[in-house]
Amino acid sequence: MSHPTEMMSAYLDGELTRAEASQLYAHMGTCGSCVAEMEELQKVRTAIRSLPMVELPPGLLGDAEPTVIPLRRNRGFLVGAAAAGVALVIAVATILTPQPSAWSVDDLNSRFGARVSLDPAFGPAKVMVPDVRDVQE
Amino acid sequence: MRRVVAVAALFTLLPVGTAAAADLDELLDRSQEASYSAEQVITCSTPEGVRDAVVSLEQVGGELQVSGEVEVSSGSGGWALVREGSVVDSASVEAGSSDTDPAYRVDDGSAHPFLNRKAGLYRLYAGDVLRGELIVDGATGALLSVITYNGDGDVYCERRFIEFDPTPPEVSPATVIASETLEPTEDTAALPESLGAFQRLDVYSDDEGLTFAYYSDGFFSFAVFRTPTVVELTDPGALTIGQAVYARSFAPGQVTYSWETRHGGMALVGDLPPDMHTAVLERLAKPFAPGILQRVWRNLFG
Repeated sequence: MSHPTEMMSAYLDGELTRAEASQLYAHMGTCGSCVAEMEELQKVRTAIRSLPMVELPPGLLGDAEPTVIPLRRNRGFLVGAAAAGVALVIAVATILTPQPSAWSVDDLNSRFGARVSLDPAFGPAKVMVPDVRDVQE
Repeated sequence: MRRVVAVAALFTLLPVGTAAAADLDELLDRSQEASYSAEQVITCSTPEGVRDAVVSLEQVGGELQVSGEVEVSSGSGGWALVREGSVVDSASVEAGSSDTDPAYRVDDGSAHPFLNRKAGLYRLYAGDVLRGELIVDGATGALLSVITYNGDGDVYCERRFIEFDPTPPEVSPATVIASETLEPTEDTAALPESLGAFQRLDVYSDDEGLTFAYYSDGFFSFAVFRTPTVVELTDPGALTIGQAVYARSFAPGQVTYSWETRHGGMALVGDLPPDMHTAVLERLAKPFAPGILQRVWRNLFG
């Protein structure tokens, strides 16, 4: 077996099957240079991952098309369940919240005022000043 | 004219002991016929603080126009609220009954100059309890001042003219136009024939499920409303009678109560002094707080 450099990278990426990994272990048990190379590869990967993230210059990817990554099935289920829960809460709150009255204080005042104008005491003794906060535009 | 005939009939038919009640009618009739412009100060001492206002009045032909923060035209069964030249709300009712048993006696009156005019002071008594003082202009019959009292003798509301011009206003109050004139109905459920000293005079309903009855004791009056849903008041106070809690709001010259019942909402609007409130409210449907299931049912199916 020649030195399996490709397999070492794939191993570090977690892409080897169990059989391929066993084959790599067997080779490294007899090849000191491959063991040394594996250690170098790990050091490089660790060094790369420790580098800070940098912003790409504007326009560098200007023409790049966005890629849509489909959600995994279990994530979609969770999102759907959360949405259903929110909808249920809204529905229950709507049902329990008293419905706004179709009648306002204005409606009461207008009808009372109309009837009072037929009262024998109608006049300065019956002047009522509606609360302006109740007067709807 | 019908009213004049009624007053004449009272003088003819009633025994001497009840003639004073006819005097109140006569004073009020004459006041309605007066034409004038005036500035009126309204000051009411309520359980929730003072409510006051200054308004301009123009009265002619039995119609009254009130101008202040809002403008109200009313008369002959019509009422319209105007703001910035536009009618905000209006209502019209057909005349119902106006006959009430007299609950007040009026003393003989005494000279009481007011605003440098010859005027007379008349006191209204319910039994021995002073309930009102009317200062009546000698020349026109206009009510220059009206003071109403709580049962303990404290002043509830004072409505006093601070300017008075007996010249008839050049412009008549705007004719009240309402889209619908409510006619008296026979549906009196939950609206008793009498509430203490107050008699139900007539009941009205509209197509949208609101029904109201008008009550009077000959001077104070109020309307009791029945609505499918409770009417929300703005920043209300509360009156508690036993376990019953009523939301209420005072405006100058007016009190409004609102509460929820088993069958919807009820409300009361009127000018009766605070010491009369409990006796009236106790005789109406009690406040009721529905449970969750009842509220769900009501919200879903009405």
